[in-house]
Amino acid sequence: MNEMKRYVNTVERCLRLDPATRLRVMNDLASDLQSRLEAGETMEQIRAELGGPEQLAAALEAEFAAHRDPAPRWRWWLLAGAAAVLAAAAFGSCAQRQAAASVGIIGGADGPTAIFVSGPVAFPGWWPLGLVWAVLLVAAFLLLGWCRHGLPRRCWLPAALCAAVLAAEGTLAALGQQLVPALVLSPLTALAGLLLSGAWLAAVLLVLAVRGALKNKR
Amino acid sequence: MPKRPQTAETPPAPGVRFAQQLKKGALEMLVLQLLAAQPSHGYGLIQRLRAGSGGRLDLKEGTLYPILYRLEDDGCITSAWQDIAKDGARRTPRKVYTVTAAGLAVLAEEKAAWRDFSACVNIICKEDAP
Repeated sequence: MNEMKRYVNTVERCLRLDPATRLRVMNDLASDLQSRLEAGETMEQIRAELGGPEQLAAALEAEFAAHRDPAPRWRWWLLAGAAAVLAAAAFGSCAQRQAAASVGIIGGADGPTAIFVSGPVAFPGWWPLGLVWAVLLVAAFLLLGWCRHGLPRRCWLPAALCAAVLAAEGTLAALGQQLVPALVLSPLTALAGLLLSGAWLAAVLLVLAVRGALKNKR
Repeated sequence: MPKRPQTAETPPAPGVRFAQQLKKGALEMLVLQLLAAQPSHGYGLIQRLRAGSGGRLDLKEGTLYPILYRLEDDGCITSAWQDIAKDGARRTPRKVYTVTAAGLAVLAEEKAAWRDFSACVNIICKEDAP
């Protein structure tokens, strides 16, 4: 029985079909393999007739060619985006350090007469913000590819990544800090800050990942 | 690492190709006929096709499933999970297919079409027999 389950799980992992067709096929396959075993066939005989699980998955994909569901190629842009975000965070951080070094001070540096004459307002969140967006883009990449064509429990990894992001932002908020300093000059700038923080994307990806992990639970 | 050379699949011989196409055309009708006689799960259909044809129709699950799903989507058959065996004992659930009234009508049409087609093929082949 365990060998049969392992065989079925491997077929499911290798099968690149749309979710509805894959569910239909796997239900029938599990039912028919069980019937074969009850009819007295052994797993060796089944493998000899149907082939290994990878071969059977390839044969099923060939028969259901109209229902193939490969992972979208554009998902690699998400990985590139994650790398770009980290590079931007590194660049922003360096530029900020250089600008801070050029800040001139007139008057006593330790007193109320100190006047800052140059340099942008320091944004302390380059790296945290960059990391958040890089993690979210990687989670989206995993959901679109690796998680679609494997056991549902693979979805727990991107779910954990998104939950970690939300937990981190929630902790910052509880400590009175924010990932993106909210310049609450108007609802528009507040909304922009909220959008930039990535919490909305983390919530959406978390819901999708948990749904994927709980789907097809047999 | 050099790429493995891709070998083209050898196309089947004309006689083999003809037999394959005949099977493809008739399988839907045969599946409906068997299900009309008795509801069955996928493996049961494979066994009955093999036994009824004397081993000439040896289907695999991968060939049978597209036929079953096409018939189900067209409303010719329905499926249900059954966990009671013939002797009344409980068992692991099986997905059993049953023909519908619409499926019986389609079966009658297909059998009529098959009779007409095979009759004219027999006439032509008999007339032009070498």
